[in-house]
Amino acid sequence: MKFQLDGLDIYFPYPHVYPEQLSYMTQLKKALDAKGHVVLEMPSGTGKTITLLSLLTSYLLQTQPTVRKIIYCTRTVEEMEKVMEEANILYHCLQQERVMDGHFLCVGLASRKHLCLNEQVFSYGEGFMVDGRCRSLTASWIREKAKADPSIPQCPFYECLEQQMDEMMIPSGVYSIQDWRRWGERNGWCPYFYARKLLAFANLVVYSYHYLLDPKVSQLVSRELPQDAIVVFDEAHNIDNVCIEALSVWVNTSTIDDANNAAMYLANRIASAKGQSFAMLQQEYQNLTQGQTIHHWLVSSSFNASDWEMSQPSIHDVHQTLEETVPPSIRKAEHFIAYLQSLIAYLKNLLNRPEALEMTHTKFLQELSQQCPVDVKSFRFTSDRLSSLLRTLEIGDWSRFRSLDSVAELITIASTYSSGFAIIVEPFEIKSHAWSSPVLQLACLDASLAMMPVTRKFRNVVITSGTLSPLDFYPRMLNFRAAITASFNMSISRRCVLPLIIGMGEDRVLLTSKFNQRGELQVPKSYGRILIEISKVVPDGIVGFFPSYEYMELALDVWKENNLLDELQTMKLLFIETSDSAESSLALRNFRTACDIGRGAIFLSVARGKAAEGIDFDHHYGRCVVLFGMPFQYTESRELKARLRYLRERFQIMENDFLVFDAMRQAAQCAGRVIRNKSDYGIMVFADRRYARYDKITKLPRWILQFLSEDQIYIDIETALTKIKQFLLEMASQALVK
Amino acid sequence: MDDDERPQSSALYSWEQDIVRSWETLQEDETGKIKDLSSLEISRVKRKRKNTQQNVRRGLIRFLVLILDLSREAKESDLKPSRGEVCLSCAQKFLYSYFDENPISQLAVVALRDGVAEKLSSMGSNPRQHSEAINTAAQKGFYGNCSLQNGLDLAFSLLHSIPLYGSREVLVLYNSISSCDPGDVRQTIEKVERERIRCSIIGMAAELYILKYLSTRTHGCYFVCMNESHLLELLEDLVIPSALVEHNTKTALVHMGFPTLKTYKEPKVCLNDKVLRNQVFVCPRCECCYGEIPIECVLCGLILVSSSQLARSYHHLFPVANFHEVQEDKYTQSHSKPNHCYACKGAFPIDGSEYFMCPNCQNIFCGICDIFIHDGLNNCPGCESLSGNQSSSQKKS
Repeated sequence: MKFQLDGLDIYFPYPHVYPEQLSYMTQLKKALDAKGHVVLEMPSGTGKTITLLSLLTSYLLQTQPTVRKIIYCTRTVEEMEKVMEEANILYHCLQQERVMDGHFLCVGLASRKHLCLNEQVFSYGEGFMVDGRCRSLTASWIREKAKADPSIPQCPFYECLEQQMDEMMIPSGVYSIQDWRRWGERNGWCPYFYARKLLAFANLVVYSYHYLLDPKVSQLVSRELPQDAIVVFDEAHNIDNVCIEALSVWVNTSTIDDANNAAMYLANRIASAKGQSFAMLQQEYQNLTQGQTIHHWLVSSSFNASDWEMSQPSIHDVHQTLEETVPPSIRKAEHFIAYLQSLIAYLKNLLNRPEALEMTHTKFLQELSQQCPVDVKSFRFTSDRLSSLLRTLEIGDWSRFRSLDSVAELITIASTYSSGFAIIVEPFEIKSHAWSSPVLQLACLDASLAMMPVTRKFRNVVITSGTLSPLDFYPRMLNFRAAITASFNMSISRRCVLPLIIGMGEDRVLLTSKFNQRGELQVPKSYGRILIEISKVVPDGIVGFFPSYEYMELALDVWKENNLLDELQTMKLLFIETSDSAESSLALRNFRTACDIGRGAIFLSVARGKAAEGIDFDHHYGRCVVLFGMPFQYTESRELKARLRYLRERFQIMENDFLVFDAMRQAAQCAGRVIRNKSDYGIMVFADRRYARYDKITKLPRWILQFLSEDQIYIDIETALTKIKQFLLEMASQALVK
Repeated sequence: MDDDERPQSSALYSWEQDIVRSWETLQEDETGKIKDLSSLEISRVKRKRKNTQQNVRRGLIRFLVLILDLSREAKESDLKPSRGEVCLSCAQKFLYSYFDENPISQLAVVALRDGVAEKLSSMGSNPRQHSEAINTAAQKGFYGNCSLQNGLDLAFSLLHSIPLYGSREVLVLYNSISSCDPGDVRQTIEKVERERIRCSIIGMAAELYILKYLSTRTHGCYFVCMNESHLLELLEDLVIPSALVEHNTKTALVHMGFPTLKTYKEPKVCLNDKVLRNQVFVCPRCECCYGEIPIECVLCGLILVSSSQLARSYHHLFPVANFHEVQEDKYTQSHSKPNHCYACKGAFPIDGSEYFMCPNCQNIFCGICDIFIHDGLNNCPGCESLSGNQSSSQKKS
């Protein structure tokens, strides 16, 4: 289907366009024309992905060369595959319409773990092991040596690619991960390196957030992407957390021990260096003394794509670092190792303190400089100097230096940025009450640090998700100006969502998961009764979300004591998500089976957990979702406190505003799990009286609010049940009419 | 503990019951008359529903297993007095109209209760016998879990030996919103599907995935009823033999015998129910005696029917064509038309009724006669008398 929108021909692969899709396109086009960033909220299940792709591709094809590329970021590999499927449909549509005058390439990129074809490598399973193994087969010096000595193993796929790279042209098309693997197997090429090479030529790139937001990875993969590209962040409701995680570093005692061992190993290597490696060390030192920058040194020694990975500069802002020369105190390898060792010793000391500690990163650096034999300036070069050293020593497999690398990274990040960080030492991890090893964290407090390079570089950044309300929060928090922010309703012929805010349980108990009222066991008991009553009338699957694992455990205890669990089990089977991911996925699988065979099941999970984020409970897997309480963050956590303080000082965002915003977006995210497309229907039960307040309720997404009428707010369980019964009957009779 | 103090769910106080807005179904028209919209709505739906497809193969010899869910959830009182009671009374009505419309078909009744499936009555064509079986089962009350798998297994064992010319069907009246099975019900569904048993379900509560799955796999239908009248309406639909799914049954010539009804002075033992009777049907091939027909002869395997029964099933193959609704103003404009209903000779306008025209004979009928012609008479009086023997001879050829 082809239609005109504001003077632009839109190619849309389906025969119908929903009204909300059209208004979405209109807003998006305005923003593209204005070269501004944009925040758009549209409910999941209304074809957001295809709307985006369709408009952007049409725009790209007709405005070249002002826009040269679309970069589409997704959170997970599964989501990426879904996007690629839609892109494929669109591609066929474009082909039929004959609008592409030349090459159109859509490339999906994932890590080696997903793309590697070499059985000896990908059988390692764990991401960093696969990466390390791959590097040890494909690093330039290893390949150099292998030429002389055939007994050194090499990767046949990579070699094949190196030899034939210039000869082959890949035909136009959409290449998802599976396509790459097939393509690679057919030609005997390494799909990972080929896909990365093609990023520069692709019109549409689909990959993970990290390739753009994580400074370590983005320098490597996305550095050469042109500025006149459109960047899309899909499912971006948690983008600030991704940004923060990208710049935060955690170190615990085992990391320190590992790092220490690695440093010892390096020290031995250097001490015993003879012959060629000795010469290399010497040459490295010479180069550094002669005022060459690390960057220069790395570039000059003929590197291939694989080597680049370990010679990456750590941070976006390091361009000025690259121009500077390495300070003399760490030029010599022995000196550098000594510095690393004293750094590790200092961190170990901090970790072994009995009480918790929180300080700014500047104070941390100041104290550190008193302990270490180097000047403050050297801190910034730690990561680069380490890369250079490993390169010089011709160490291919990096996986054993992972801990050492995190330590180096911690110090480099801390010294690069002037504000927005805190050092937090917890004597034990708060989240699990069991004893565990102490943790030192370099906590990034400012999400805009990772986001800023992206918003500054690219002409358009699109932030979109099913739940982004309140919309003005994201530009503030991520520190950019949005040209357009908009939220769209769901246009549907029937009321397929039934949101209910239950304020009172049995015996008129006021429902709340408020922290200071958790001693009242009456509330969890009421929650139990609500779940039982609901499971009596709702068929198939029900999903329940608690604010935290602790509260879930408390509630389950109370239910067990009051025999509510037994009563529940007669109706439906009960499955629980735990922090163990293998256990949880088993529970989830069994939950789905129980729904499939008609037994009916309940899945209990926590907000912010895996189920709340990535797993869909569509159709009969989630007829009803129950939110037990409001998913506020654990406000006693030092990290959160530090962040709240920072947000107030830097962006004038009040603590309470942020907490409510965060809780409501999690709640909306959990509730949205049950509606994944238009043919679906579901009930959303918000079981906390606080949801009924004006400041909370208005922060729900518009497409939920549109179904929330006055008589569904602050009701008791009996009224809710009547409404649920009526809703289910109506939906069933509509869905089943032939 | 508070369960003890509560009255039985069937005897809830009126303030505990759901709100029944009976006044909403009444509407005043412009002349001030009050009409009951619900009954009007039903007749309209009824008329529209009659989807008379001609030249469709239908399975006239039906073997149906009626599965009734009498488990715990049948006690729920969202239908009055309870789901189970409503379900049973509607099933009774269904029995009679089933045998009315399908005299040469058979039926068996199965109850789901306490996790097991219980055969209430075996394959037979005597509605009274089934009705009594249902009544005795109802007295035991509703309790325990409901197992769809056990029900299907039992239905399978009742149906899988039926010869291929018969249409094998299962009708489930499902009160629960779950199914508690000993194994994987999906395997049973596969087995049922392989045997080409068509399963239709009417649910009393919300939509259940496994029931939808069952109905789509076996080419049946699945509905959820809103209230009692809706349930009856849905059951009415299932009384008419449905069109055959391609390759579901073989076309075959079936041996049938027309037994003679004889009266003996000495009572004879009837082979179907081991009862002594004076008046019996005698098999024309082996001279066995039976108390009722249709039945398959126990000795020689001949199917015994009466000719009138055969004829009564026959009209499903040649239904009366749907009548078109005629707008009132249009009708009054054309003067050539008569001013009374062709069938009942009632003078127009008849209260609360529209006008309908038969597409073949162009005669005008009132709404009441329209329903009667399509649901009861199965012949259009206009066509029969106008073209006389011509149309009937066409049918016979």
